[in-house]
Amino acid sequence: MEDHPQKNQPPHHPSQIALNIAYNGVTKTLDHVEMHAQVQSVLARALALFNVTDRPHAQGLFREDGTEVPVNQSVQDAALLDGQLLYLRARTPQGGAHC
Amino acid sequence: MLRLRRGLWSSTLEQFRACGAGRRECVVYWTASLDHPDDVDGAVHPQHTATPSHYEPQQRWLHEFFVSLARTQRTVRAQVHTHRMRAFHSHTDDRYPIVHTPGFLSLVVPNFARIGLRISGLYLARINQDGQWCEAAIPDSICGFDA
Repeated sequence: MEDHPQKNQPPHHPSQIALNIAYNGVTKTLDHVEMHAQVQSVLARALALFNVTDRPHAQGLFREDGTEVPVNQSVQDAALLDGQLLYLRARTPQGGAHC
Repeated sequence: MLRLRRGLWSSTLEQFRACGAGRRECVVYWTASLDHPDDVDGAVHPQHTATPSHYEPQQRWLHEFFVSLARTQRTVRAQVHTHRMRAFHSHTDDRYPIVHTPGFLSLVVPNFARIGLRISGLYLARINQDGQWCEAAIPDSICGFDA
């Protein structure tokens, strides 16, 4: 009988992943994202990556379907995947003469 | 220096007049390709709510817009919006731009862009390297106004 050593091994869970982040049309890669890191820290790194100078809480990371990735979860709990594309953007841009 | 495609300024004003109808604010995002980011050739009018003193793009539209920017390799270079009376950068304008990176421009158009508008009545702000909004000189920042 042929040996299948890989068959009984547990699925591989990397401790780090890379995320693709798109901001204002430009896509960059965020490397070495720890699976146990909080999404808040990923957001902070993404803001720095694009030199976004806004307040961090005014910005968010959004999945392709438009849902926001909660910042108070770990990368693992948020089920983010290696190579996944996220969109960094302002949560509620607005303006007007009313102060 | 942003260079506006011929007719872009006129179409921006027409959009403001049609959407705002002299009663509400309106906003347009000026876009360019990533290959030629200073050549502004798009004026994108969002689905938005508006009052005489406020505007806000709809969330679904906003997300789809950001997805489309990445897919089409385009970028927002400036936001342009109207005020009912004089043009200035309000606290809301300062705090909630669509893009917040150094060099981003925000152009404010007075009087709901009614006929008779003069370039000298516009107000232009730019995000500086420290992330702060500063007034910017229009002739040094944008060319191609054609109306």
